[in-house]
Amino acid sequence: MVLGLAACKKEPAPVFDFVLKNQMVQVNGLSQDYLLQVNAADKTVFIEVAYADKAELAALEVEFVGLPEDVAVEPQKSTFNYSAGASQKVTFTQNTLTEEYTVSAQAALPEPHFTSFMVAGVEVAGNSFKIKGSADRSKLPVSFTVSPANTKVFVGGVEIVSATEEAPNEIDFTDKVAGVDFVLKCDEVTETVNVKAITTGINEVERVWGRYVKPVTAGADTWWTEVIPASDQNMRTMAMDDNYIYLAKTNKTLYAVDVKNPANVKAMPMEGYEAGGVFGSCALATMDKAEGGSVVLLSNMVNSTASEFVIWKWDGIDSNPEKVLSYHLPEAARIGDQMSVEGNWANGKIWFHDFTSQQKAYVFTVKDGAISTTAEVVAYDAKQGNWSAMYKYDDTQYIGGGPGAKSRLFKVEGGTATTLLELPGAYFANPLHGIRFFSFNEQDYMTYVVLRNSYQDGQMRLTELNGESLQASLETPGHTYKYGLGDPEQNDITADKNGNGLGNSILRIVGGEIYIASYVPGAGLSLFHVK
Amino acid sequence: MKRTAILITALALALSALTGCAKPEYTPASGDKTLSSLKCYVYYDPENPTRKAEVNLLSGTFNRERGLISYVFRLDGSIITEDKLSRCRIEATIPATAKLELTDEAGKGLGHGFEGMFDLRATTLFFVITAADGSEARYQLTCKISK
Repeated sequence: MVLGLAACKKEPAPVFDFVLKNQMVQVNGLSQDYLLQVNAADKTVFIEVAYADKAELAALEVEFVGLPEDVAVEPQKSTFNYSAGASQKVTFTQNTLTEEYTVSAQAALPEPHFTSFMVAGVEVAGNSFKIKGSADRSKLPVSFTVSPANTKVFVGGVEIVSATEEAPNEIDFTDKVAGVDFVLKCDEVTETVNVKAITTGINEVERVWGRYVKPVTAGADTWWTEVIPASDQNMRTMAMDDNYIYLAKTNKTLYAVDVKNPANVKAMPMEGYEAGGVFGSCALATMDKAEGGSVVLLSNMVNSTASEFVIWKWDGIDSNPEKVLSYHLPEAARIGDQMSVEGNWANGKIWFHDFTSQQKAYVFTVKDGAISTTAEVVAYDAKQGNWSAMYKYDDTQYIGGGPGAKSRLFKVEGGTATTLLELPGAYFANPLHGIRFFSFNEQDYMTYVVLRNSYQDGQMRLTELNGESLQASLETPGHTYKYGLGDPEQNDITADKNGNGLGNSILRIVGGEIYIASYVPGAGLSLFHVK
Repeated sequence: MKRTAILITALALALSALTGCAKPEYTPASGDKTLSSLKCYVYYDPENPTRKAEVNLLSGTFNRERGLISYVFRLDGSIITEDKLSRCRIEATIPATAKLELTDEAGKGLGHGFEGMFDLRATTLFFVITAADGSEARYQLTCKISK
């Protein structure tokens, strides 16, 4: 009975419970990472190698590792040619039962892309590159490397190769909005990379308005005869605040010209004004007040110790002048031909160049709306012409500009101005006036006026400063924009001769926008907007 | 007065009828299930758990069509070490109307997303993104180490 029962006991049915997992499949010999997908339900193994390993598909080694002890696989490791879409059968055996998996492999599509990309020597980042607004963008060399290596690059349907010194390509980047489409083709895959030029610095200088003494391309400008007497060469300089441009005339008239509409000209009150010395020098400036607004400062000119040197102040175009300085020169000199200021009415300085020696300046300090009654004398190590002025760059660097001597970059310390550089005549004609500095859109500039055509015309100029220091920038200046002051279109015209070679240029930031008013007596007055 | 009341009642009935006929218009459920980003954060400074390295897992090898993602951590000279990869946080960006759920390799939902810490030294994770309209996109993330 017992024996009979034992004889009837059945052997358990073989079980196949093996499930292939990702980590059991290993692909050998690839240079790049690969993708692997095991689908136990469909009994498939899918391998995607990188495009760079496409050639390996012809002999791809697949190995099965880490299988349970009771599972066998055939082949355990094999090399198979998957390149033509073929698949390989792999058989797993457990407890005499088998399951067949199908292994297939393919290469990923290429992803053609730039691995380096330079335009005119500037690295392209975020599909754009920066270039100076003054640069010619119509023929820029483009150098690049690509991946995969067999990628070809096309612009406008024409294949281009990376620029070399011997064979530069020339790509037109003038359209800043549309940019340039670079089409990368690798096998059947196409990628388009749009690259745009982002200009730094000035995009446009708009002449907001201009008044020309004797224009040649425009009609006669009656402004200079009916409103402002252009023939008076002693109206030598000008000043500007946010609302008005100021011009002083020898007959004791101080004009305020509305910057928004130069037809609006007002003769400012002169009640109580006593010139003293020689009024005709008309040294003129504005200084901003801490509480807003500005003061207009006008000095006389004196050339002896006996004469009273005076600065008058106006708080507005309707206010009467107030005498804010009475000073006597301690030695023989002449001041009051030009006035240059730095800082503001709460904390600043006023410079007067000595016309006689041409080699020193009297510097008054301004503190809380009061001008010092004594002046510091700053001696230059070189003559700086007669009607000259000093223009501040930073705490120690100033440029002296004016007729009769080349402009110089000085280092000013301890009452001494030491020449750092005589501005190269190849770039900076003489004389320069109204030298100002500013930065716009990641670019540094120097603006000034320069007399032209034997003082019968003038230009407002904007010169890019590209060096690591001001001195280096001036030794090799960058692009210079030039705008004639005697005519809206032409430069170097023959207008009224400017007897003393004078002029001025003022830079103001109004509402965050940069405006430059430039004036050369006998040529004209223009207001520019830097955009 | 009585006539006015009748008119108001009639108007109310008419409006009620119109309201009853109006069929609500529902915006079709979104089918968007895009995996916009998949990042992991590796906490490399045990003294300061706020210091973490962010790794874009989609920057490795990615076949969006098949939902296959592979990322190889290259440890040569990196602040990320093999040890630090044992406790990482994973963060996915998906549409607000979609949901993400981890699954097993057979595709069965595990009832949660990328909560908690993950050991990414050598692992394969499976997840599904389900759009508001019920459509699915399945992904397989494999992380490896290259020493």
